Amino acid sequence: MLTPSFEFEAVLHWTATALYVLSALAYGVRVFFSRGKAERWGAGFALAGLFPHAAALIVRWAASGHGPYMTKYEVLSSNAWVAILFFLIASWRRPRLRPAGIVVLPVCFLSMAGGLFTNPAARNLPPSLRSIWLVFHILFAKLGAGGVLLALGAAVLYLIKEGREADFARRLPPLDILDDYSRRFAGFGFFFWSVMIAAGAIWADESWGRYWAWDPIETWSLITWLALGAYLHLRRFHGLNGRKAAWLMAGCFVLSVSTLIAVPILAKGLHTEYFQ
Amino acid sequence: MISALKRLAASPASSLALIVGAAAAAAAGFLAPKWGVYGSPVFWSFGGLAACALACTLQLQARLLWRTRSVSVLGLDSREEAMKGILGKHGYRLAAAFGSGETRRFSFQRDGPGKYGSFLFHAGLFLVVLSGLWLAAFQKRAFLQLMEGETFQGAENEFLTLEKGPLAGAFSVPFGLRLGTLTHEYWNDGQVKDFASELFLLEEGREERRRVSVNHPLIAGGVAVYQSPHYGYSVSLALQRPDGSRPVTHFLIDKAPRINLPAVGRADFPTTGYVMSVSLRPDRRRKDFHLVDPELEVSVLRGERVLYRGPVPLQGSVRVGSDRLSLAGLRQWSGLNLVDRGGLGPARLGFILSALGAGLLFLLPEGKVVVGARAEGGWNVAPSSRREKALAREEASLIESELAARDAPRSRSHAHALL
Repeated sequence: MLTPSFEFEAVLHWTATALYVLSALAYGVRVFFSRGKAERWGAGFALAGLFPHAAALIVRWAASGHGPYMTKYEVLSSNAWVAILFFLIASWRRPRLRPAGIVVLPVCFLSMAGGLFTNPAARNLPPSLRSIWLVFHILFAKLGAGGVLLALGAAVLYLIKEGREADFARRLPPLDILDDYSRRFAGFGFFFWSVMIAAGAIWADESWGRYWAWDPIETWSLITWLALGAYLHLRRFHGLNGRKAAWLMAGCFVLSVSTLIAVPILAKGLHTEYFQ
Repeated sequence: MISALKRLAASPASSLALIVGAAAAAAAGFLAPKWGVYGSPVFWSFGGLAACALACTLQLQARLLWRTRSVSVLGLDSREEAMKGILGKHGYRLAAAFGSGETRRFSFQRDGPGKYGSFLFHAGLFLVVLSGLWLAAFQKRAFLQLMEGETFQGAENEFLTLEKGPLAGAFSVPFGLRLGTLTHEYWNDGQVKDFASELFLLEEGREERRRVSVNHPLIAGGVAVYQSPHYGYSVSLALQRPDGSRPVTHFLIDKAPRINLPAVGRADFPTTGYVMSVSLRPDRRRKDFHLVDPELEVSVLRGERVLYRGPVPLQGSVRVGSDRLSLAGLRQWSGLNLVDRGGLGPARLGFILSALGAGLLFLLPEGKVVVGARAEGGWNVAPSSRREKALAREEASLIESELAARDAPRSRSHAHALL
């Protein structure tokens, strides 16, 4: 059933989505047309969007009695909020990352918009989800997705810039810097994904007496984690860098999206009740 | 030969092959789940290879990690101390100084806890893999259905289902359990809010009241008892036969998924040749999952012939062929999962260590720079990190700028003094 405050929530969500769209456009203007101030507008719109977005999540939390992790509507929205916050903090500390907004913001507002078109009815929290390990598991899942998204952003900028002489390509950060940032955020994503898996396994042991049951989402989380591990191994020990590394990072991103969004829709298992 | 094998096992190529192979095997298992996991030779092969590779990697890393080196650093002048201070702000500590005069160089390292990251991460993985192999071989898991008032004596033949590893012995539980009541609560929309079993733990002649619910297992004598999501109703039916015998059988049926649906089950009545389909509404008003005002309907078949289809009163009986069928009891039953806890502890430690190690490795990475004085003045900072070279060069340039800015007022005042 819809929460009593759903209309207010929807207004806040759509306001945030609109601000994220403006942010993405501003970053696009900055990258393709070299309007220096546009970058500040991009960050400003994104930051402004975080507030109504956070308010929507808090309203939802208060109305449903649990955090935003029980339905597609809640999961897609909260994932986007964490990813955008992660991007804003990273790009504030490392200004060279700001052009990655042309990747991060569109992915996030599309995720939110996708969630807004699903069934927004709230679901009650089943007994199995009442555990402190859920908090760690969910939080680090979202941070892991954010880390992989930022790594993708740097990789996409690399692919855009490489081999191009156009002005906009020259304005992007140097290729080797983008390559290194992609690797660094892949490392962050790997760490967050490791904590997500560890917290999930310990929680499964407390709930069901086994750490691993080869549930579809557990299996695909493992595959994504192994893919990130292979990427980092290849970069560290086999000299993989540049274009090949960027495409491999894109593949890891597709795997992470499959794990978090596609597999819960397509396969049935213990996990899938959170994404109905 | 053994050293060569160890080097091969710990080599980056072997590690990569194992990682890719594990991912491919997991994907194949997802697409063809009927192969099963723990009985599969693929699982055992990968597990064994992974454990060997991790053990060799750990041995190699441990040797590198604990290698001590004595360093003597000659006294630094004030300019060098200032340089060391600026490097210190970036997290670097002076590791060595070598050369003299114009060729004097300083090696700085930023290696806090990050240098232990790889070792901890792989040690954690090693524990997880070893635990997985151990559990696959020795673990015992069982599912028990207990009716309210019924006692479990601890014997293996009382379990409804039992999973044991190929090397596991008998699963005899060192305590008994009696189910007092099953409690369950629901939200207004009929979704389950909470459910728990009020149990009596029977151990060494004592009886102790315990409660088992989701996320709150009972652990005793190395065995853990978990509340299963499966529970329902036990319908006890008695058949009064013309010869005076009165067999009773219990039909354990699962709770219905929605409140407006009946709980249904089908089974044969042993020694009678009857097959019975049972449909129970715990509340005929369809408002409650508890046995508030139950309504029972039964179909009785012998072969293809329907002998009876209709309600069974809570008191009284109905005619089924030459027999009379009556309700002997109506209770709830609870599902419990029993798991031998041996081998589970190291797995938890392994997960925690690997997560911690990954954090140290990627959030607190090592760094190395070599600093030398330039003949024309100023400092040259050269990164010697093998990772993220471009970012390391950027950081080195930033440190050079800070060092130049530190020296600039001094050189201006020196020049002014000369003038």
